[in-house]
Amino acid sequence: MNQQILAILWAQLRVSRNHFRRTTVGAVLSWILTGLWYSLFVGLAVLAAIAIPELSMKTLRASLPIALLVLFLYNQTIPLLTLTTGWSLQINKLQVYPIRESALFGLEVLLRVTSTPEFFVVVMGGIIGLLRRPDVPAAGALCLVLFVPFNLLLQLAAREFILHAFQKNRFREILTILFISIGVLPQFLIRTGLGIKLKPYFVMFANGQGTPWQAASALSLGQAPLLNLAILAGWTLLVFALARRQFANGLIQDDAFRAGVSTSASEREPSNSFLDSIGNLFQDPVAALVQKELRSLVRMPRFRVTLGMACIFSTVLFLPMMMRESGGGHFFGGRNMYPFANLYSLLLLSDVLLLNIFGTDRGAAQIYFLTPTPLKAVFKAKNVVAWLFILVINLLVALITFFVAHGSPINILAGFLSSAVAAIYLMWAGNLLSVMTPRPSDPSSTMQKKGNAKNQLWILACTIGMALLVGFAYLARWALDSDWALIGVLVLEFVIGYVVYRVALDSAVERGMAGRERIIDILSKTNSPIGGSIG
Amino acid sequence: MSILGEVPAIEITGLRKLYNGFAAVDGLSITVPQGCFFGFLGPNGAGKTTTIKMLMGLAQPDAGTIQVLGMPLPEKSLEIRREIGLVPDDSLLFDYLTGAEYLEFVGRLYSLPKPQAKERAGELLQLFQLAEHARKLIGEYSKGMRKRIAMAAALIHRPKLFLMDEPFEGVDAVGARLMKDILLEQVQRGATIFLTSHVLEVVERLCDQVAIINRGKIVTQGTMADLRAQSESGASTLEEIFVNIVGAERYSEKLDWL
Repeated sequence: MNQQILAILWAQLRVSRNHFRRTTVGAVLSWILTGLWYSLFVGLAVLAAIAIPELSMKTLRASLPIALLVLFLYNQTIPLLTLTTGWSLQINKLQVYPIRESALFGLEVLLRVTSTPEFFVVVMGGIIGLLRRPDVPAAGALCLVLFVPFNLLLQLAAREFILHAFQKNRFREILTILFISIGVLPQFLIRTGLGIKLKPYFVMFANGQGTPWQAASALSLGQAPLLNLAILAGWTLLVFALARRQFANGLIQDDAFRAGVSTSASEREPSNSFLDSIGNLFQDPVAALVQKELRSLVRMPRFRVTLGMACIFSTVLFLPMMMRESGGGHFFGGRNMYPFANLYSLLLLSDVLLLNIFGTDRGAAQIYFLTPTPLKAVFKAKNVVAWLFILVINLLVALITFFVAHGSPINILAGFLSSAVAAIYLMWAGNLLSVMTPRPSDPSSTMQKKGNAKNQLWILACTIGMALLVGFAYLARWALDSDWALIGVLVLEFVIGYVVYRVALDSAVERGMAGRERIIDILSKTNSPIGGSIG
Repeated sequence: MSILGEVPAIEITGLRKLYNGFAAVDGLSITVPQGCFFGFLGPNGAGKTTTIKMLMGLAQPDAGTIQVLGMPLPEKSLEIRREIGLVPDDSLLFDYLTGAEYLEFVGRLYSLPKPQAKERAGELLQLFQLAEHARKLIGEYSKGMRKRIAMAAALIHRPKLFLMDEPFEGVDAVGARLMKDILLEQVQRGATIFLTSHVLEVVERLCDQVAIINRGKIVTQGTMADLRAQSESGASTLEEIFVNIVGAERYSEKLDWL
């Protein structure tokens, strides 16, 4: 059986090598970005290795369970917050071969390491720190490693539960959004002051007898080793049983998903006549393309989750700040939260709607080059639909700003204009990027296999670009001490952006037609034995 | 397994599979003897692929029993998969492996020692006229080449039973001829082939027995002679029999503008 696992790992290495041969400058940059991110955690691990020997034993006993609880929460929630499941086996491809379920399970558990490698880096730093203390037995310090399987197994159980239970549920997008909304929790706790009130309870929970983090902490410090080892082993066995069961359920359920079991489209979307009426504002072929685009997007789980996140996050995340301003505060962020909320929602939507417009539409991409429809009409239709969704979110945030946070009309106007400026620039850049670096994306998956580093890089570039554009307008307001300066600069930026958009659109069409073979080829690629390795 | 020669290669009884209340397969019963070239036909959406998935243990039946080479599913799923060579639809290939790497990988999944897997991979690439494309990524293969590499992978562990879903789709005449010859040789050595195909001429020429499925149910089965005898309209070719059974109508009577 080991031979089969080795074969899978060998094939995965080959896939990575074969893919690396085609690595672009963008991919190299994304590697650099990834390196920087993990360097932060290496720094944290070094800090732990240096600081732990300096602490008194009393402080260490009090703080180590808290640190382990924080690490545990990070390890369990970050994959959910980033909608990232790390590398995972392509079960549908491997299940046809005579491989034992236990071998697949073992490999899948190991692959959980890839979802939050930073967790393991920090744990290693902690172990080194403990080993450097003369008053901590070396065997005890090494026992901190036993905290790792508990985390891996629980992460697998949670992943399987979310992937399969949510896919079966007709309200999966709402559930996913609610789950992701945990990300707002720290912000909420800080802003409401609830965090300070809850802190003693958190410390008490971290030090709670019988909890896995407390047992791991005590074990690593050499306190009641047998008892704490038994407690940690008990927890690990429990989550092992849970993970095993979820994994087995996942194997059985997979075929139903592949067979496309879902609620029929008509039950889940706005009425066809409403979608048609939007398309009817245009002439064919743009009208037909707009209708197709609207129907596809509202049926696409990935887009629905992104749209929901944009709606919820842009309001929930920024509303407390806006309300604080309306309550008499006068800080810059509070007064300008509406534009910021709009820009934030735009960033969330940008991947599907603006920067990789053929990625989730990979099946249809070929048709665009086969039918006599001009490619320009396809871009226009996709951009029109993007405007529509951006407008919907802007209106939602504007309504909340106006009625709940009592935002001023000039603030709301600035918000709309900021959004329009950012959107027009993202649109021309996105049209070009979509033909220059298209990426296949699974429209049915609400969770991606891996945070795409290249994608993160583009998002970062867009954030900087948006900040510069809108920041310049705010600079003008500050310099001239007039809101109209802000509005004037935004209008000017939009006009310039529109001219650039028109020129870039022609260029995107030209590049798209010239590179159609490459685009179709890239969009039609499927995955490797272990998914998530290919951007 | 000394009794293998006596048991059917596939024995399906009362098989049923529901998707959202819709019966994709509805009370299916078939027996495929060992050493038989069995054609499993039906219109699109009739339940052919779902049946193959259940035979592979990839889909769980809602009712009915399946025995493959005398072994019950799902209890002996692992042992059964060891004896099966699968030519699936396109989706099970790995686009970022080269042809040679893919065959070696599959061989090792079937527990062949690495040197043997590598050696057989090379021989199969020669046999399927893919040797000059051995270092090319599968993602760069044409459709016909993908089918050939999939069939080569199905052969690498010398299985007793082949499950083939549209193996000739997109394959040119030379490639199809080669594949047919190889399959006939496999039947001669005692292997069983369970094949779905829309190329009815090929099925008629190759298969010893044929079953036609429509809306999840078997509507007729037997040898070609049996099917001709059962045909009420006196149809002689498999295409005529098939069209009569699944009830196709002439399109020109439906759309006068065509």
